[in-house]
Amino acid sequence: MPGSAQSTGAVTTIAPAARTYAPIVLAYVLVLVAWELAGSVFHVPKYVLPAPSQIVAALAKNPGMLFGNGWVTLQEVLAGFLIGVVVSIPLGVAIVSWRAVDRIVYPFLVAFQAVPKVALAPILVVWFGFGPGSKVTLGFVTAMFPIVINTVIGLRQTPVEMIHLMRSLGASPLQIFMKVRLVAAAPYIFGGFKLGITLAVVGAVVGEFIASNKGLGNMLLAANNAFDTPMLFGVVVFLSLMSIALFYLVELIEVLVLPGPLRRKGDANTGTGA
Amino acid sequence: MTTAPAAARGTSSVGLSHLSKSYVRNGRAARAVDDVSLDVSPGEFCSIVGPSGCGKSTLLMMIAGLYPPTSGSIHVDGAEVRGPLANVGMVFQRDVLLEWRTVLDNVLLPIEVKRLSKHAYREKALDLLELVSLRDFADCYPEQLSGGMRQRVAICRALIHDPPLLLMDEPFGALDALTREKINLDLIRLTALTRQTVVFVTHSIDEAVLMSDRIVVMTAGPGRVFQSLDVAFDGPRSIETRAEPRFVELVKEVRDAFHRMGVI
Repeated sequence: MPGSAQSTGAVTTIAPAARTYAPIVLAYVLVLVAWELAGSVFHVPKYVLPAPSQIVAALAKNPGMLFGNGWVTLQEVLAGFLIGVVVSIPLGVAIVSWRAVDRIVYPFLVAFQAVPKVALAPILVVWFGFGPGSKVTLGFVTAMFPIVINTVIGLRQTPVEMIHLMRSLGASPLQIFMKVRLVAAAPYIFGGFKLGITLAVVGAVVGEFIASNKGLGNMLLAANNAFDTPMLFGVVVFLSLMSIALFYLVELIEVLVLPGPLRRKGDANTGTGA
Repeated sequence: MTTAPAAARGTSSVGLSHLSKSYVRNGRAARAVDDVSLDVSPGEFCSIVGPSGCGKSTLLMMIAGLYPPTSGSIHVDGAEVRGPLANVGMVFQRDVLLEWRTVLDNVLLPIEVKRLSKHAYREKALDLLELVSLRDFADCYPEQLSGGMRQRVAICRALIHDPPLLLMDEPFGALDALTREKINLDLIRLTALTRQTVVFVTHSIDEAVLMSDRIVVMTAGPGRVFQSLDVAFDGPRSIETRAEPRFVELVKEVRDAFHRMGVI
């Protein structure tokens, strides 16, 4: 909220924004131009580093295939993430609520997090088959950890005095949970969601690498086998854009759901539990 | 002892009898509170002062029914306390306001928890905020307030549901001296209106003398009652009270008690 901008009108509101963002935009444009020229100036072959224009051309060649496979991957990501949410939040609540669950489940969770999820992929294919099941499961197990951890951290934020205060008012455990603990935890839980959804993308794509006949991971494999480097780059760009869009979608929901003071608190905490 | 408007409606009596509390720390039982007997009359403002770690806070939590005593008993209005009292006002050193609620909604929290009509209590909440000069901040979030302002909101929250008993645990410990003085006077004004029974834990001797009808001096480790002093002034307490010879005398008396305990 720049107070100066409010008092002096629209012209000055734009100018500081331009001053802030112009150098950033310029830097990105320069990198792209340099990259575009690198191919012809330094004779870098297309199969090593395609120019941005060639990547765009590869993507434009068959947008139907790109969006079709993108849709498959997106569904896997969302399903994996949502299962992750549905499992992780109650698990986080259980860990915070019962010491026994904390002692038994928490070490297991940490140990499980140490297992490289990529290494699990072949096993999951054996269990859940070639179809979306194995991809959804891999997305789910990768997304779960940060959501559980952030839920636990968030639920532990409530000062003990606040709980005393609520109890001294005759509040039920459910009231204490709903009115205080869960709301106080919300920014942390959203931090977990933001990490979780990008990890779910990784999980789904790795799943598609191992065994699949559709999805963006499969497209990557196909492009790799055909030495179609521009297409490889194109799919990576497309995947990244999808990941970024999903991240900001979660952030948008957070902004819509949380009241102001909690939103600002969450911003500083996006990195927890990574 | 005060001339409390004879057990006015909405004020509690508190009776502690041979109250003790031990914790197990590093495998050994440590006694935090030892054989404390104390009676607080309805409408009385009773301060508990003592060095750090004398079990003052533990005592307060036991009165609230939040910690069970190891031995002895607590009675509030003649009934033995066996679980959390559901109708007390509590203020802690930390204001523990809910950051996501406006000042007004923070004050109305007890009403909401008790499932009473927030609408009906809105005016009362605003009146309370008016009394501590915060009415204009009713729609602000706590993050926009200073420490002293936040603690005043916490006091309004403790008073909104007319609890017959106020339990305050070093409520002004984190505030600077000037703010503290201002809130002391605010609290005197508020409790003078309602005549609630107040049990007030502090380590400020000045504050205790300024506000109390009675001061209970406790020893440290384990916490025992060392001395109990009645505090009486002619006329209501005000900013001038501190300048009265009687005030200086009482402060010295409490100080002497600390001296005899070997604390200062």
